[in-house]
Amino acid sequence: MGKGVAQWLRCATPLGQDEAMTIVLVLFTILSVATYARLAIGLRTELARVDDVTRYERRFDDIRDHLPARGTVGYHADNNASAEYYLTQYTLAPIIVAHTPDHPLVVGNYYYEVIHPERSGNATFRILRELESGVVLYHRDAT
Amino acid sequence: MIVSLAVSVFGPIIVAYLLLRHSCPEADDSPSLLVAMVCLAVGMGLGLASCVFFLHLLIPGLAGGPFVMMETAVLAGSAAVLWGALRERGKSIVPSRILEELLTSDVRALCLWSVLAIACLTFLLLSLAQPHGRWDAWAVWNLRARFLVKGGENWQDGFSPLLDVPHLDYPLLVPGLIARCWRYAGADVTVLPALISLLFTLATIGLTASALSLLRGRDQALVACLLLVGTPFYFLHGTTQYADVHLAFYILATLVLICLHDKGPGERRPLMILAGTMAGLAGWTKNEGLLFFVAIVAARLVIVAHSRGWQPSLRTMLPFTTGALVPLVMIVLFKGMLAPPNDLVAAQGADSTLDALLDPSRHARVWWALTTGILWFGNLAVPPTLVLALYLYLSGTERDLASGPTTALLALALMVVGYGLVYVTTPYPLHWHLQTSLDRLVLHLWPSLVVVLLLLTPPTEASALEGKSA
Repeated sequence: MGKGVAQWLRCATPLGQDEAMTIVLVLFTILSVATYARLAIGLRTELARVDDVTRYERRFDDIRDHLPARGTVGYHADNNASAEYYLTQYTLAPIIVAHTPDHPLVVGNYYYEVIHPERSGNATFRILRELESGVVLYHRDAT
Repeated sequence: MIVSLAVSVFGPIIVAYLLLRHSCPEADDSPSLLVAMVCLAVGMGLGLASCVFFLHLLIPGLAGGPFVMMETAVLAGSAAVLWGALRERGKSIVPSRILEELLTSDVRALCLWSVLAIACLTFLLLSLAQPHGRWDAWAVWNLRARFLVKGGENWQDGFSPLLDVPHLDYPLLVPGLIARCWRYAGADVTVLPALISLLFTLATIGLTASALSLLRGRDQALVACLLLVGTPFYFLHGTTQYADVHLAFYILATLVLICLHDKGPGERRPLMILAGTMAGLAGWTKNEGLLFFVAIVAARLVIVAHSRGWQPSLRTMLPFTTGALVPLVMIVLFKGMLAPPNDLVAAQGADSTLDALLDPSRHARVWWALTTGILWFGNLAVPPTLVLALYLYLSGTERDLASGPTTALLALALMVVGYGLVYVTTPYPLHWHLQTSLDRLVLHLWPSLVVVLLLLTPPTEASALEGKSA
């Protein structure tokens, strides 16, 4: 049946097989060019501003000097979304950001509202540095 | 910094190209062969450079050492020796007819060049708009690269169980390559991963063109390239800075090399060795590449055994395995020493897996999603598969398939079955898993599918290889 359809298609084309295919390819080209052009034009606003990840990274600029070059820090946030944690880890690498506040140094990442970590067991959290960007560096003091 | 970056990216490619040109026994003047070699050199050079970088990290005391100086010296020395050897054999570095061939124009070629121009421009703009790539780039690939390059002697912190990030078991071709180039540059240049992805994308398109030109004819080569470049989802995917376009390249390279091996005259053992290297590098890129490695070995064994028996079949796999050795050793070292268990495997239970396998509704959803994912790949108003189908209808297909395309078809079919079974048994919510990964899995196979289907059509003119053997 497939062969019959193929034969019919070949015969039914008023143009030669080659010309018909060229027309199809030209139409496909026009569609592609239009799609790319639409995408490129849509980037105007994005190109005019700093991208989200770079802006996110800049929030942490002023605590870098207070962190060790390597090692592990804890993490506390107002929002438990994975993206926030991944971006913090990406920003602070090669420091390991453990997804828990149970470490001597803890990075607080507050995007919407600063909610300091509560006393955990016999440990309290002392603020070492608090930035306007919503990033806070704590020291976890065991009492 | 720009010079260091250029050396880090193009150094291994140049050495790989000279090596390929040196080991190629063919006559020198086929532009298609040159393009194929340049494209293969991109994958081979950058892939093996990633292996070398990983190996140097494993040697105690070398991780923070003068890697860049040592590697540059080795690359420069190798290039000088190979260049000298080529000149001694009277081979030119670049065939003389290449420009003449590339600048040949007709309507279809004009279509291709115009789409390519706007596609590259959009790629660059998109890379500037999102210099850190998309979600998996900063959660997986570039994060790993930052640990490898900034971690110094503590680079293994990037695999610490304290990290709550996904896919720590994914192999290191892409992170290793990016980290290596960043080490050369002395900084983590954000746009570099996208530019490397663009290089792989262009190499895939170049390899598609040259392979079809060598095996079928210029017509099929143009159609295939137009379909790849004209599909924005495929061409722009490199801007996400994921590892999918790299894997698509290695899958295509393996299949093309096997087809060239089976088609051409004379001793073609180096092609099978190189095919093995490419398949191994696919496994070093992503876990899906490991599935491909198994699929291609199984497909090759079955197809050759079907025509010549099991013993010759096993014998033909020897050069393939030899070629895959270096990447396979890297994979074993990585999986054995650093990688945690795969999340999909670790979350499986015997009962739940069996239940999923016996659930017809899951099968129906998965196979339907895979079918539509392939047929509607590209999210264009007119799917590229429709144009491809039309071309196949109009040009007809050959009945007697050569062993190369048959092997490739079987390997691709096994990949689809493998992907399907992974989805059927996934411990994650099926809808979410399909939605977040299916289009990328189809992307792995898309260039190969286009090439293999066009290999089914009869030659439109004397292909470069046929012309040569005639």
